[in-house]
Amino acid sequence: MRVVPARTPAADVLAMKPDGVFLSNGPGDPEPLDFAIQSAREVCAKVPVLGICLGHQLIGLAFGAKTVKLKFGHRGANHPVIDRRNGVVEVTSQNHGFMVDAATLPDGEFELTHFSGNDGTLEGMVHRSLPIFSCQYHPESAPGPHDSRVWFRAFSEAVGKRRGKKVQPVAVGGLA
Amino acid sequence: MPKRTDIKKIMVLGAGPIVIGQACEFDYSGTQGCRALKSLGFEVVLLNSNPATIMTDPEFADRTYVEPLLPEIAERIIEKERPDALLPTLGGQTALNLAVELARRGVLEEYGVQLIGASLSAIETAEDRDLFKKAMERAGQLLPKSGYATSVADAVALGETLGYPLVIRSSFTLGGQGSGLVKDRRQLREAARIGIAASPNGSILIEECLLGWKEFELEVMRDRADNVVIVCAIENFDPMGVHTGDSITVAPAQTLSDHCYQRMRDAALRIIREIKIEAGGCNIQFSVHPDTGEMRIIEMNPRVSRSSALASKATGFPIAKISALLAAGLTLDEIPNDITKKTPACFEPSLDYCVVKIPRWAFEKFRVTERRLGTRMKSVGEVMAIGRTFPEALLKGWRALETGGDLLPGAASPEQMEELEVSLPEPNPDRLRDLFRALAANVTPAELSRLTGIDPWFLHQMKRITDFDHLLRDTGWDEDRVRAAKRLGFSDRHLAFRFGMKEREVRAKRIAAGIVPVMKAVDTCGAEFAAETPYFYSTYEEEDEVPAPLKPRVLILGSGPNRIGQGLEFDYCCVQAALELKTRGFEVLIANSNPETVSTDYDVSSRLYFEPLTAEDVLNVVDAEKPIGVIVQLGGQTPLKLAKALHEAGVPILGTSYDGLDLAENRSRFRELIEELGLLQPESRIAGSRETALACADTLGYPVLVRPSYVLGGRGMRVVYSRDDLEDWLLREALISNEEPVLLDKFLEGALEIDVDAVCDGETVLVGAVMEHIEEAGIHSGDSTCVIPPFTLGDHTINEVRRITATLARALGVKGLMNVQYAVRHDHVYILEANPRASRTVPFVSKAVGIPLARLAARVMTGERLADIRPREPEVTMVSVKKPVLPFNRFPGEDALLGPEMKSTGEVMGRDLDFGRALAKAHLGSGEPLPTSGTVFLSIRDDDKRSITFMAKKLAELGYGLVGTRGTARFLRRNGIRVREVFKVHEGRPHIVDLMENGEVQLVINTPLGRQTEYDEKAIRERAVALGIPVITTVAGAIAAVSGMEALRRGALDVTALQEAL
Repeated sequence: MRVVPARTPAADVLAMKPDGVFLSNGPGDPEPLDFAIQSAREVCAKVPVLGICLGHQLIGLAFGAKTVKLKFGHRGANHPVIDRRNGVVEVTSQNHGFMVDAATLPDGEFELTHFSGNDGTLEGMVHRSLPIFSCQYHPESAPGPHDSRVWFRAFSEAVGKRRGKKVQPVAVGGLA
Repeated sequence: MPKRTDIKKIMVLGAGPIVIGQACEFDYSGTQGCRALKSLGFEVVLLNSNPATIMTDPEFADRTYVEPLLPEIAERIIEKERPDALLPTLGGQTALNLAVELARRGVLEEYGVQLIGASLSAIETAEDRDLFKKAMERAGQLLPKSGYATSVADAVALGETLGYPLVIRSSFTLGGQGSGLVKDRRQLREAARIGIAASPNGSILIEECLLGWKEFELEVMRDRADNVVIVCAIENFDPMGVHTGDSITVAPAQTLSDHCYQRMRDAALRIIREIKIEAGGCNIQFSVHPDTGEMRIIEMNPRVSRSSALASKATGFPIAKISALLAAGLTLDEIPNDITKKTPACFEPSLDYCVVKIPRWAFEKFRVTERRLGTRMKSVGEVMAIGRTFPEALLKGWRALETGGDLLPGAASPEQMEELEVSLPEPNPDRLRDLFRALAANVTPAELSRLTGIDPWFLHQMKRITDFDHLLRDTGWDEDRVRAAKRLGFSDRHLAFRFGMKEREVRAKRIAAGIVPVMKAVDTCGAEFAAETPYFYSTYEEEDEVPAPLKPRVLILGSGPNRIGQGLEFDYCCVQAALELKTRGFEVLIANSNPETVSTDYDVSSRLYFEPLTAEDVLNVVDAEKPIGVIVQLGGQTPLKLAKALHEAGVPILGTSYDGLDLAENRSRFRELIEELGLLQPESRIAGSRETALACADTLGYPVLVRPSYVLGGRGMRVVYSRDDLEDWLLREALISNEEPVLLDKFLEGALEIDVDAVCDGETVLVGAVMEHIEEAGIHSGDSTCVIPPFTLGDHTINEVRRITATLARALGVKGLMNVQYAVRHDHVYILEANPRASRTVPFVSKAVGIPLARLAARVMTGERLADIRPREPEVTMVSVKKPVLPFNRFPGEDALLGPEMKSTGEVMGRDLDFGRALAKAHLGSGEPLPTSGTVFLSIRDDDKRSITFMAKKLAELGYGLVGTRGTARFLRRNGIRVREVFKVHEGRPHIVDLMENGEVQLVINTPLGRQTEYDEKAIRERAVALGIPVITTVAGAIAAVSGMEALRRGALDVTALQEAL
């Protein structure tokens, strides 16, 4: 694993021949971060990507969606998120004041999988054809509950598939 | 998933009588559950034998059966009502055990009844230690090292391999009955014997002792879509070794890192899934090693519990209500959070405050009992307090106990400190006070933590309090310092003590300086969302969150922590009044400190104030809300005692005026009134010294009823039969002075006792019922069995009693409820006591006659007249018997004898068409069933012998065998009754206790010889209690019992719902 600065061009990242790219969280309004949006767009076309929080917003922006400021930001370690695919509720750690406006995402590109139980806003999405996983909240949860570790499993499986071997799911905290 | 449509009718099981370990928290959960199910359109059938409960009021279910919680009775109800489902998770261990029994007997299958809330296998897995252990292994969780024993010999063998100390736990019992800590082989033998006997399946668990480990509890909920949330994490202040019910507890958990907490949370998720709680809640207890962080699972309860009631009150997340909705098929994401209305229930509450629960014990009632706390619960009630910090919540909670906690104790002297070093490591009811004393004496938190195992964090927080107190002592009034003291939780009373002022001076000066509390909302979400919270606590901060009033407000004061003599019955009255007044155009405010109650369910009032019931805290609520008046007559003595302070502060008291209350309470004023009205009272005297007391008793003539001047639940009361008796009592009660005199009444031996509950509006009097006690006068009314309608009184006496009641009510200016106790002897009616307030019997009477007395009282108190309300006349179509439930089996060594001091914790109601059946049901419900066959042991004092001849004959005719001690046996034989003679304990073997041990005695009838009971009698009663053999100690009780036994022999008992018109 290598950590690179936010302004690293996508070409430099891809030159490292990563099996997957992780877009981390970060502060504030994502819209002015055109360099990062550009990088996100380029890596998404090439390798499996998992974005959380700001990373999720960058993926949304990279695919042409808009981000908007929430009326009330989501903070704390007790936010219910509902996975629309199976009705399962995850109790999550959240810390974001902006969100990807689901209505502005290109039609059919993403499966909108996760929504906030509290205000119904978009909390997670998975690309329909590419290995792109995009999560608004904090599955790494430190501090916070471990309900959402499945994002890491999905990502590492996608990475493993690309490498042509099965990757052991990462065990973080108590849950794999 | 929406609610289930395959079920329409749901039967709910209640928890039965209040006993130690299972109290009114299950009324709270049951009431919530019934309301929730009805709101979804289900038909609800309820079974609960406890008439004092709010859930058994006819409005909360479609069919309410106040009948014994027994398989035969439940089966009869199922046969009659044909419910589709049975919900057993709201009624404590009693309901769970009953459901398991019904399932095992095939009753549920036979009638096609589904178990909802928890499946049979889930209950069995959670309850059976062996299955539980295997399940935990599968879930990757560790239990304490342990093994099982079904015999004392096995237990000892196992104990030797595991090593002492060890913990003994009995399967399928409530509140840890049959559990204990043992330190050597001898203790193990005794504990194993009791535990095996107490366990329905005859097995006990012996396990590794985790003494000194930290203890936590998580409240977990799961829905049928497999969503799980943790409602609350509760931390025990006392480390492992003290039953959770006897521990001070704190929410949220204070001393865990996120890492450790998440590990616990993950374990909880795995456990609830492994046990397969499919739609409901459970609590899981964890133990954590303070240094290594090792974790053990202690237990899990697949039902709502005392802790879940506390967690509900601590967080605003109504666990019982949500449990019922989940059982009915809804999922957490479909249920709205009650408090925000907009967000769903599938979240985990966040607390921006700290909650402290402190237990209240009743050891003063059971003097012979060892005061040490252990793994068997002994507390009878608890308080909860909310503050912004732990010190504030702790001090609020401590004064809410109403045991003098509004004054901080002084420092322990060096000699006292030596004693404390010995006593502190042993958990006992005074430990909190002792910790304060030690900290004030500059013992370090580290040293105290070493002695007690209590986490140093808690002790450091307490040290903040004692350090500040030290500062207060050195300086006079200083505005900033007073403000800081209030923030830390100090009471005005303590400040007054420190500054040498009067409490009301402190209050006035503080208010003048603008040091006033604000009311903060409990909103489940740390102010993240707008909350429509009706639920508040006071704290010394800036922003007040009380909404603007819409209607006139009435403040009802609750009854504080449960104690013997003041419990659920008073909460019933408060709740009834609140519900009634809400429908009559008032905003109803409730102030109370008891988390177990229905009154502290924020759904009951318009706004709930979770506050200590002290003058200071209640006046704060009054200042914040400015109600039109305060109701003090429904919550028992606690609010009544505040009447004076409220009156003096100019706060209007609704209902009977302060003067009226005083007239009844003040003995000399009351005596004058009685004389003026030409009524009778037993002759009495007041004595301010030992000598006067003895002289007064001589004038009155023995027997004499003696008591301290201030009594609750008959505390310290006794009937003395001789000068020696009286001297002995004076010696024990010690406190006698002109300020605290002793009251002496001529005791009317052999008189009948009668209780009356009535409502009066100042003019019209409505007598709810005249109740006749089965035991003669001299037994505290709370401990005696009573009957509606009277079964031996003539119409003439009853009418006389009604007339006197009406006269008294008018003379006292009663507006609201009144209870009068009478003694009847030789056709004379004597007034023993008149209380212009709600009584313990109001709920029983209301159910027996079908009149909601407390609701009527509430209307009268807010200005309506009975003449306008025109309530229907009370109807008595069935016989109702109220029988007390006594906690003797919790207090080994305590004599199981009834007297003027109340000792019962709860009651049951038996209801049927005739007296015998009603009484038999009351016995069944109280867990002391009358035997339908077998042998009755008789040991009767000489005075009573003549009265039992007929009864003994009847028993023989019914086919019961009789055994008696020599005197009793010879007397009965002379009267032609076959009786087997048996040795007294000191006379040889086999003696009576041997017979009892061998299971050859099914009922003990033993009338004592007076206060100095012989060793024999006490031993017999004690063994009987330990072995679960019913004991009857009065002739009247015995005669009644025989008619009950006769009814039982006539055939099976039938059931009738309260709603059935007869």
